[in-house]
Parts: sequence; C-alpha cells; structure tokens
Amino acid sequence: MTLQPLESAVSAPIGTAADVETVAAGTDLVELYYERGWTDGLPVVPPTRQKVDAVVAALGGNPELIECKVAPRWGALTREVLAINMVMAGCRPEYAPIVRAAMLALTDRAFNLNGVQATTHVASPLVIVNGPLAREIGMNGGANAFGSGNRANATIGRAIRLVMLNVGGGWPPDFDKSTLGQPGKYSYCVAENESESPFAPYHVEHGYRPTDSTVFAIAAEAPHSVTDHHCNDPEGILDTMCSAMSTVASNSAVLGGHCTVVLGVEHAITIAKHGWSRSDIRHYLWMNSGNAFRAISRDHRYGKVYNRNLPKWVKRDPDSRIPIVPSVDNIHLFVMGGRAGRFSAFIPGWGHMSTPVLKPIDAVAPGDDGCTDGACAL
Amino acid sequence: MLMKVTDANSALVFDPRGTVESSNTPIAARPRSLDGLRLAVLDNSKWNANKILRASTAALEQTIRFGKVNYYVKHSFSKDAAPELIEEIAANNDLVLTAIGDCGSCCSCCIRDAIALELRGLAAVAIITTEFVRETELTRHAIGMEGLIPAVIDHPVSSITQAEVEARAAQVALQAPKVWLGRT
Repeated sequence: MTLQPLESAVSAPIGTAADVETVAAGTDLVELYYERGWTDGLPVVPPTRQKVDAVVAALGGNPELIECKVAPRWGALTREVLAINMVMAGCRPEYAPIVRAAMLALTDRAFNLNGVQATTHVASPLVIVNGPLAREIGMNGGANAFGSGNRANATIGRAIRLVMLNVGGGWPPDFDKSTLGQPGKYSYCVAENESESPFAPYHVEHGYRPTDSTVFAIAAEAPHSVTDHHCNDPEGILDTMCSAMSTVASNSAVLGGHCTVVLGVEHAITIAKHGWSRSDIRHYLWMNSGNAFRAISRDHRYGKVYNRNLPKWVKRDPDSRIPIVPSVDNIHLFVMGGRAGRFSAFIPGWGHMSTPVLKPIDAVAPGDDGCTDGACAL
Repeated sequence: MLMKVTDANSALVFDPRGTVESSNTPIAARPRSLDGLRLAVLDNSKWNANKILRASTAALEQTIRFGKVNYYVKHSFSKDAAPELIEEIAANNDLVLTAIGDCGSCCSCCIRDAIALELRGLAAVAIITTEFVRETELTRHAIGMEGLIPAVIDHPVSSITQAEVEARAAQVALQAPKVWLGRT
C-alpha cells in the first residue's frame, strides 16, 4: 500500500458502476437524498438514468472511466459518478467538459485539494472560465457575475462542491475544519467578461489562443469589494485596489501564495484608455501594495510568530515592505462585471500551500505566441 | 452492466459518492526499548510547533537516552513533507516525533507524514490537538493505517504562553513512549 498520490490519473483507469438502488414509486426522492446526507444543504435534483446517461455521453461515454480521485476520502470520480453529482446540482449536459476540467484542476497535485478541503481558513476553490465555451453555454461574466441568477455559473460551481463533499468526503465539521466557512462554498464559479474587457482575456495572457477554452482554479477567500468612484486614472484606481490588498488580515498577507484581482469594466476601461497593459497593472499592484514588517510582526509582541512563514529574501526590518504575494505573476487579473458601477474586487488566496491551476478544456495545448499580455494574439 | 429499469412501481436512487479502495496496512514493528535509538524531530513550521517539539524533546530526554536527535523542518505545514525529506528521515532515524496538527490541513498532513514514515519502518508519533482527534481517525482510515496512534494535546497551541507550552510538552512526554513501544 502506498499513500494516494495527489496528482490526477494519468492513464485513465477503469472503476466500477455506481451503486443504484430501487425504491418504491412515490418515494419523496428530494427528502431521501437529504436523509442520506448527500446534499450541500439545498435540495438536489434526483437523478434519473436518462439524465445521468446524457451527461456521461457529453463526457465522451465510458461511464466507469476514472477521471481522478478526490481528496481527502480518495473516492474514485468515474464519469458516471461525476454525471450523478452534476445532475443533482442542476447542470445541463453541455456543462460537462467544464466541470470535468475543473475537477482535474482541483485534483492536480499543485492545487493541494487535501489541504483546501481540510483547512480552518475560509478558502474555497474559485473557478473562472475563459474562451468561447463559456459564452456557448451561457455563463455570466457581466452584471452580478458572482451573484445568483445564472444557471451555468450556479450549477457548475455547485456540482464541483457536491463532488468535493460526496466523492471527496469534505464534510464539516470532521473533514472540513473551516472555522467560519463562506457563501462561496455553495458555488463559486464565474466567467471573465471577455466581450466588454478592453484587455486580452486571462487565458490569452497565459499563452492560449482566444478560441481555446480554459478553467482557472484557485483556493480563494470571498471577494472583497473595492469601491472607487472618483479616481479617473490608473494610479488612482489601482492605489485603491492596493489599499484593499494591504491588510494584515488576509491569508495572502501572512502566508503569501497567489491572489486574484478583478477589475470592474468601468475601472478597466479607464485604465486601458491611459495605455496601460495587463502587465503594467500587475506590476503596479505588486510594487505598491504590502504591509510593513512591524504591522505583521506586531513588533514581536508575541514572539517571532510569522518569521518562518515569510520568504527568506524579505528583510525583517520593522519598516521593510512585505509584499502581499511573492511575485507579480502570483497576481491573477480578470475583468468582470456589469457596464455600470465603479467597483472592482480583491480576492485573497489561501497562501503558499496551494498553487492555482490553469487547465485547457478538453486537451487543447497552449499556443506559443510569446506575448506577455496576449494583446498580439487578438 | 445490468441496466436497472424502473416501472410504475419503483424509482431509482443514485449513490453520488463513488468507491474507495479500502486497505489497512499495519504500523511498523515496535522497538523493545528506546535507549540508543535515533529520534527525528519533524517540525511542520506551524506557529509554536518548534517550541512544542523542543520542550517535548527535553521532557522525553529526562527518561530516555536517545542515540541522536535530528531536527528537520518542512517548508509548508499544509502540504505533505517532500519525498526527499521523508527518505532522508527514514535513512537516518529510528523514531519520529512530528508536530503540529492543530488545524485542518496541517493535521491531515502531519498524519500523512507519520504514515509515510511508518511505511518505511519508523515508529512515528504525530502530535495533534483535541479538536482534531476525529479528523485524525478519518484520515488514517481513508489512507489505510488504522493502527496509527497520535499524541493528543490540549487545543489551542498557536497562541499559548511558554508555561502552557511546557504543560503540552508534559502531555507529549507521557504519550509518545507508549506509542513508540506499542503499549497504548
């Protein structure tokens, strides 16, 4: 016996058929799934053979193929089991490639799903979709992007959480030790607003073609709203974002790792009008955010408690600036939201314990256009 | 695969959990005595893990003459120890004391590290807090080493005083030898 590896299955092993039980007609199936402890607290859609088979077909058939194993329970996520959870969540079959890509991202060793499931922190996987598939299935990256009302956003995020609960076994309070939890643990899935963004999309910045579709998964806190209704230049708006980033209270501030910055459309358009690129934005944010070491260390009032969790290359002088994340490339920048409203959002990550994963949907290789911000690919 | 067919008198219930390969591997063979054995102290760099481990080691050394005490630190408390670190510990030690499992992810990884070392023949004690006893039971069941016994100390530990650290160390000194010798 060896410890289960955290990496996803490379050579697609075959599992077993899901357990299917027969009950009397007229049984209240919604209540029965509650009684079995298989829901996220909201009622689920009771699967039928027809609905499950339709999702399996959208995944490419072969219902017993194991896509990955889900920590911490290491349950085998066969295509059939994935389909069952997707139907329960309310997904349409055409969402299947996205949910699968998201689960492969989460079960990538770098993501450390074991830790994300168990942590006492609020972190929950945030999944952001880029490319034409997001538009084709009707995802929302516009007004109220992180809110309710869109079937694709709501049910894809929900399916991911149901898999984490049912297959991964991440149930509170015994395996999910989150002290407070957060609403994103119901569903936390959104698309970038590519059509209204003045910049190239995130996945193009990272080497994909605009015609590719990708999922980006990061362990994330809830969005921290960033209000700025008076600045009309990049520095002003981004200084407000820096203010939101420069709190000692986020996990990013004390444990590094990666974070997400979401620019609202109005803010993005203002910044773009001044000729700034994605790279300019991320560099400015990294350069001008952070906390003084004394603020994090509290002047060692409690001993050198955070000393070992900060990078070696940061000076421990009281006024040394401790960056929020250790590198410019650890800031993941997206444009989202409606056309009206000068709001953006800062979304801290969990810390260095998890690395976000960008995965193509259905095995598209990245392009080699060599653009730092992807603009030349458009 | 036999297709279940519903009729007017029945409905189907689909289990969403998927199967788990179940197995159980015994813990490593227990030593007959502890004097002269080499102790690996594995610090997961969580807050106060270092203090708890050093105080525990000092307390244990009141009654045990270890052949050597080797200190190791893993970079991230919420990830498994790197394979190279596990191999280095296994090659140079006989016993393990590791801390601290006082949060969800670090407890899980402490237990996983302890299991990885037990698989390599070392008797391992993972120090966890009272809030994570149940998670430990579930983790060792999920990975397949039901016989792994942790040392349990009072929660919390991340914000305690030195006097409280000493009290926790006394709890470890009481439990660790029993786990190493298989006398729990």
